[in-house]
Amino acid sequence: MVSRLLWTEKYKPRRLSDIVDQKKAIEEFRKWLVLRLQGRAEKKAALLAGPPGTGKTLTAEVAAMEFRLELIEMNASSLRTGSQLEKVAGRASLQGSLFGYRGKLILIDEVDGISTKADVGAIPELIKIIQKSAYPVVLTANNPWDPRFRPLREVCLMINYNRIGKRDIVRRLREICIAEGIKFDDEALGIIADYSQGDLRSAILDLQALTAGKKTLTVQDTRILAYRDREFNIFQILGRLFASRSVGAARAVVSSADVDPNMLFRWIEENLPLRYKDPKALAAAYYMLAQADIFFTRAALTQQWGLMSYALSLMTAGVAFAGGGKAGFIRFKFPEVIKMRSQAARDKTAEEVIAKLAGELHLSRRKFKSEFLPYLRIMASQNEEFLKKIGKAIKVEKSKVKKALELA
Amino acid sequence: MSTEIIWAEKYRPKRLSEMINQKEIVDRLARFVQEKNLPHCLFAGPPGTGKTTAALCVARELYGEGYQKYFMELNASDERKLEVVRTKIKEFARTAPVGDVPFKIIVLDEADNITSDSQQALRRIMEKYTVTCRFILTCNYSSKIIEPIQSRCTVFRFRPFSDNDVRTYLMRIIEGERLDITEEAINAIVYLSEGDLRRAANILQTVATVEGKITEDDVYKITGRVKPKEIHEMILLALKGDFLSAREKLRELMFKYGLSGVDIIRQIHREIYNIRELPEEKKIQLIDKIGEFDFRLVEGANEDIQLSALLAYITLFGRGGG
Repeated sequence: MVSRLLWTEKYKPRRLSDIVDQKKAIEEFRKWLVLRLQGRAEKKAALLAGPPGTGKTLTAEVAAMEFRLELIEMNASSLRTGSQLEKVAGRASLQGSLFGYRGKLILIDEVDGISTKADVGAIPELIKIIQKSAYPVVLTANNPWDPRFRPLREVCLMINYNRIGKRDIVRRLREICIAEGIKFDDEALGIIADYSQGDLRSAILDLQALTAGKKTLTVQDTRILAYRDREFNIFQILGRLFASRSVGAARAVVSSADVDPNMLFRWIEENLPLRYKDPKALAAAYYMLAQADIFFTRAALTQQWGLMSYALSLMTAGVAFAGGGKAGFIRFKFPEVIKMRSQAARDKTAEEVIAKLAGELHLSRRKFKSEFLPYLRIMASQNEEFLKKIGKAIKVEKSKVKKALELA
Repeated sequence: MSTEIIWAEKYRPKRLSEMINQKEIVDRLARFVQEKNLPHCLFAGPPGTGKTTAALCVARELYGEGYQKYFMELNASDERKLEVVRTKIKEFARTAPVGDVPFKIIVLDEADNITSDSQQALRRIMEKYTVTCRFILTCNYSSKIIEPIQSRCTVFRFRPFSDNDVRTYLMRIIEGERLDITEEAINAIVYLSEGDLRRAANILQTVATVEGKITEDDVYKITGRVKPKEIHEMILLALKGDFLSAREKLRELMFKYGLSGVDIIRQIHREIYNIRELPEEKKIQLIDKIGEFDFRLVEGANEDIQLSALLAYITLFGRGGG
């Protein structure tokens, strides 16, 4: 069969107990599913959360086989609105199953894929379906901590999937090599596992890619492997940047880094104080970064993208040499700004509240934010009654108004 | 239009074995062809490093000359609406390919221009059509591709070409077109193309319009650039404190060669890295200042004055000031 051309399909586990290195998660899931099928589970849905390639979707697929359930796969991202979700899952969840299955298992894969912009109302609808469903519902997500999923988390049993350990990945790769009759070098398997960073699917794909058309695997073969971009990779780039010996080498980090400059900028900013402990050095380096920021802005304002080149020089070479001294070991940090911004940006209710208020005052949101928000924020923080009145005027709960004013 | 008119297209490698360098990537892709199998791929790398060419070569070798039937190219930045992409893919994937290759190939160019929300949807599409289609995504920055998609792809990183690689490619065109060109002119094109083969071919085709043997001067004149050597000399003169000679050099470049101030100042930026006489921290301060003057030019300030002021500023660094 065609789909078996891919080893991730060909070597898919057949039983829950065969899923690699997720014993705890699988046990938890099995326990929940048994109770759920008997109608005794506390939560009607399970939310499997974890990085890609750790076996979340697989768990649902294999469980369906093992428990002889018909797997109904739903795709949150292709359904525009809640009512469409309702049409498929809502109905499926009320009907009995045909063809000798004992029941159904509803899988809603990668709920992070729900776009808050395009799929308006998808999450409340999803919750309704979960509560109505006669059958177990399984959801998967890479990042369940996104604030917009909070209501969803409350109705689901959260089960965490961790990145898979290197030893387990190597063991699985070894099994596949033996089954395929491939002569392999153990070290090469270790390298593939390292590159996969706990993602078994990508490790198996890499193994297949490296051994295509031949029956051997050597360390030499693994030279082509490339990291899939993750935080770890950026750590290396930062390390290289701060250790560079000439401005030319520091500047070259951008072109060889394969990271988009704006993101790199955030990472440099977050980690600058870790690199330069001396206040004078830090000030000098930060000055360079601030200059880089000015050039980014100028390039955008004038549409003269040639000016970007100065921004790139200053944020790399400038930062690396401004403070002087050698970089010791640095434990790099993930940029808080990115986290904070993405959370604020995704908090839709806050934006909705702001839109309503702006509408009431006959203003654009932008104008509202600059002209009214600062004052409202102060007034609201000192006067509960005032907050209540605003809430009433736009028919929104007091607590939501408060949060919106704080966040916006 | 016959694509043969454009050299970058005419000399685009047709087979994997014709590709310049990227040896490890090519070897691996050749094996996929041999096995008649292909995982989903992510080709990451700067412009002009052979990503699209590699995809085209794979398709041609898998399906032969009639490959277009089984091969679809979509550009993510042109077709921003994922709905359009989805419909096209659905249409394309509906029929199974004839012959012994059991899947079709869809190339999504510039996939890093797709928003992450849409990438989530794309991920679903990839999953859905895996049986009949394989996806090759190309991007400049793989960090802009969401993790779930990266996890499903074999990642190939294309590196910028070395000067030698660019030269090999240029020689192929020069022989093919029987061009008369000096060694220095070839070096100049190599310098200006910065590891981008497409740009190299375009520059060569542009300068080939001159009569007679193509010289280094032709290359710089036609592309509106200065010989790096001349910029280098000008900077050294200023550092030595000889402002008058430095300014004379500047005026020669601007008025005699008719170069724009912005072009000159950007080359000064590039050349600063190669000035051994300057300590590293000084280079940084200088670059900051060069950017400042560049911005003034962009805003419409007088080129002659601004560039002269920059040169005067550079002289300060020569005396250990700055």
